[in-house]
Amino acid sequence: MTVYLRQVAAIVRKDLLLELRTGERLAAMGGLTVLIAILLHFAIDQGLVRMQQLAAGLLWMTILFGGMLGMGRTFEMEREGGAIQGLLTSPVPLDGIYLAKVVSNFVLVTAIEVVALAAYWLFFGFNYGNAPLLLAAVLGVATLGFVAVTTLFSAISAQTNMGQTLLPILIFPLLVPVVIFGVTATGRIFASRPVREVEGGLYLLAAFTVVALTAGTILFRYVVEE
Amino acid sequence: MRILRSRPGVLLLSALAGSLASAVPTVAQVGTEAFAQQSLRPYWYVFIAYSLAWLLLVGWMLSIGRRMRGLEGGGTEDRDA
Amino acid sequence: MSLARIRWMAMVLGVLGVAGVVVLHWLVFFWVGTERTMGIVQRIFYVHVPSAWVTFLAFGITALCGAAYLWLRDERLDWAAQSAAEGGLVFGAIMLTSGPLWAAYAWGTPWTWEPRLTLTLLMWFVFVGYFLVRASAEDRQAGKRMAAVTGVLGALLIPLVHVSVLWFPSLHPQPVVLNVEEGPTLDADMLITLMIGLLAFTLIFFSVLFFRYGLEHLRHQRALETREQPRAA
Repeated sequence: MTVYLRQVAAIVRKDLLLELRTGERLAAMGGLTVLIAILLHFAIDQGLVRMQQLAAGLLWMTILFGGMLGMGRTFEMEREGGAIQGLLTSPVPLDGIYLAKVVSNFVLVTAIEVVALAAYWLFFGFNYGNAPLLLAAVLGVATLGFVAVTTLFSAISAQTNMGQTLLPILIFPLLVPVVIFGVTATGRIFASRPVREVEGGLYLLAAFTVVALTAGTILFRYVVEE
Repeated sequence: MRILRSRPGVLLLSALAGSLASAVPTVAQVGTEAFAQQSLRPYWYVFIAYSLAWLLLVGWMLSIGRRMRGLEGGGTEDRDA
Repeated sequence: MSLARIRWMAMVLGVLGVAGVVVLHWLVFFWVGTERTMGIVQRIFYVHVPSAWVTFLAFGITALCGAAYLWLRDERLDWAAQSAAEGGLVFGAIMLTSGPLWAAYAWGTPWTWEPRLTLTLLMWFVFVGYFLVRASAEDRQAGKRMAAVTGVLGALLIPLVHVSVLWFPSLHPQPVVLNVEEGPTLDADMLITLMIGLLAFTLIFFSVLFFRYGLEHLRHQRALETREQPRAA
């Protein structure tokens, strides 16, 4: 078990180090996040709607698109230069590779969530409510489910000639629960509603995340096997 | 009519004929029942819904038949749908 | 099963299905009573519900055969899964066109964000994804596995999608056949027509499924033949 964890941690460390050195995915995702916010400023007539009312929805759409942009490259990066072969033939079990990719993608997406929250606060003065821990819990659980689904499908799309273009069609139909409960829960947190109004959504998000993560861990080996 | 030679073709043509035959009396029913009191819109909706259903099914069967003939004609048409 | 056997099965099911469809049309247009509040347009019900049922059935077959294929690696399971997915795409399209037509008249709006409507649209997109993955895979074997994974994950997450869309208030009629508390709330003639519709659609679906499966069978045979006897120069 500890060997397994150490192997997973090694891959995570490698991925994150690579990301820190090149910064290519982080730059693209962060850039997209800020740019979406800028475009939204012009896309929404703020004389008609108050941005705060749309806050949770805008935030989640930004996270989904920004996250998808970066995660789509999870396995394409490894395939360039054939690094994936080394990874797949290494003694690390295949599900360990999947979990490692989920963890490193989770860190990346969490980073762009911070960027998004900051950008929206800066540009539109969003009020994020008075329960930062609860907000972090909802964002964390929902993000993990989102990452679990997207990481599996990015391994699939990397092996097709459509590449990342295929990703939205595969993931968006399945991510509806994340959007529904992510948006309703964060929306209620932003409106400083009592905790019990958020709980239900959080539990269902957790159920989604558990199912997605378990299924991804089991199914991943069929996607990458030679 | 090459379609008459393939068995799926015969099957689907008979299905089509069956549904067309049943559509004719519907029009008759329209004539007696509700022509005066009610607009024809609901009848159109029903007609379009049933036609689309059968067109889609027939289209699917035609495409299977076409692919099948491509293979049977000695071709090694080798692509996924 | 040999190819001839598969086609024979398909023919038998097809003849029964076509007979069922003819009976269904007769029942729908001559026999069954007109629903009081919605009127004539309610007759769309008898294609809408059977096609919805078949779509769910196809989704189940795709996922089960996909999972079994991943486990046993029997090509025939992949043929079945692929054939069922194609059926799901077609019957899903029937459901998604007949539903809004009915709704446009009965509710005055073709589309509402109603749970079952939303669910089936999303399910249809899973089928689309299934075929996009298959068609665009660089390696054919990998394409089959990845499509199976798409179907299986779809089937695992769709119940959660369903639970989540249920949160929204709904216009869609409540289940009228499998209503646990009061028993079927549908009039007897409507219930019989619906049952005939379900039967006819299921037979038609399995008939075409067998034809489609036969196509994969034939394709497989052709591939073997060309491999065994390389074309003489």
